[in-house]
Amino acid sequence: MGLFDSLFGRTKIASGKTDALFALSTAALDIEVKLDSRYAGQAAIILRAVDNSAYDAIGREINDILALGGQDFKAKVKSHDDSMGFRWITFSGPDLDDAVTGLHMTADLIKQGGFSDSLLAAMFRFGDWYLVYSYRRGSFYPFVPTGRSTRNNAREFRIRQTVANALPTEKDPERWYPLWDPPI
Amino acid sequence: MTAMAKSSRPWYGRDYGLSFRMGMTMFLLFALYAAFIVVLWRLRVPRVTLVTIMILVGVSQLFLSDKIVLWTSGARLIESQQAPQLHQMMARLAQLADMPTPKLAWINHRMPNAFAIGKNPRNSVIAVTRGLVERLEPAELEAVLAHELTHIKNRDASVMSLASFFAMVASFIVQQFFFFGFAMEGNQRGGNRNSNGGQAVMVVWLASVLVWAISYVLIRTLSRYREYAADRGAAILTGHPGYLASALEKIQSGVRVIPNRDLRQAESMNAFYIFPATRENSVMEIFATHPTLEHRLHRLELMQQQMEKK
Repeated sequence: MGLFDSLFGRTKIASGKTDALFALSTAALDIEVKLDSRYAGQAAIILRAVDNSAYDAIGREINDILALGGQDFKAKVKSHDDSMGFRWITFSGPDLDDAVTGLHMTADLIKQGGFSDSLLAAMFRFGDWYLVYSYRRGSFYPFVPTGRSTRNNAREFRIRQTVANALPTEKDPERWYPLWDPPI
Repeated sequence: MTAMAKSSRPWYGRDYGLSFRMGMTMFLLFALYAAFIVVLWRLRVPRVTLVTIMILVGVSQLFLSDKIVLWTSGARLIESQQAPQLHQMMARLAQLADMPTPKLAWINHRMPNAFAIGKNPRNSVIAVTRGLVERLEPAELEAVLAHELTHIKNRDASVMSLASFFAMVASFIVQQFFFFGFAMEGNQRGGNRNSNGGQAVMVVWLASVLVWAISYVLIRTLSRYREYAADRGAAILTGHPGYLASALEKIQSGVRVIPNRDLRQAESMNAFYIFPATRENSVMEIFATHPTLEHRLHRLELMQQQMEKK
């Protein structure tokens, strides 16, 4: 969003950056060793639901492809619409790579349909905390909820410090947007 | 698969007409102000006086406006524990728009309305009234927040104060003409140019009145265009133009049931609100800060159709 977009009042949502997501596959070992946290078998992609028939068609296509999946793809996929107009597609299965692949496939389909700006975030559960990938920023940030609307900032800073070498992380804590009550 | 167009063009398209009209209005304002400066310069208005006025106007715009708005509206900041749902909505929208999350403020008033203030996205506040939260469905409330967030993203507070800077200078000259005239004449006598000093003062006064009047219409035109832009942004951020449309309808009907006395209290805030707190429809639209409800709904409907075409 440049100065001219502001000046002329043009709203343009930056298209989702999907590639940096793969870095998580290699960083998982680092997280396990240094933070003593294992991937808890739960991941999700969070999408803004758009009021458009083409978008609905993509949604159905995603469901079809992920449901078929094939023998290689062992994660169980579920779709869940929350009260705020966002769709959560959840992946449960022990293998982090499966979740990353599934998330990437989903994001790709949405991107091809021209709706890449509806990609909000991807979320991975590690024990009692989460790693969130922001599609706007193309970076990861930690999220440690301690209640319905409270979070452990000190621990979040420690986690970011630890994973910063292995992952592209969000430096600005103001962009560590909370995602309360995730269904994963 | 057939419904999916393989393109990266955003699903909502663009409104070139709106951008053009907005650019045109800003250009006209710029031209008007440039002409005003040339007139002031040619007529040798004392620089000290002029600079003093500009500093006064600038300082009041920079440091007072936000605080006055918050103070007159009676808004107070709320923490996320006090309104978790509202804060979560705000955070999601901010994440989608790639902006820092604005602070939220609460106004204990039954009139449904909302406004945004802040010169930059990092220090911005979005205020909502109790009436807004009570009357609107969550999806409609989100659309209103998205409208205000777009104001912040488009830096409307800064654009509008920049656009009205010289208009305020002109209005200062018109209103304080008595002192201004003395300052100018005194200066000209001192400078040994007494032949047509009185005439020059009159010309400066007339020019100021003219600039004030023309810029008034232009600034309000710009304000309406920026409301349209914020409506558009809300539709894009929420993905549903229909929610903002029904929110605006509810806000208008909510404003209708409020007693006149309460409305008059709120009137000074009208330029900031998502919807002006007034029932008078007789006022011509060119003098209004906001487009009429009909026009806004029409635009949102067009957007819905445009989205469907993609």
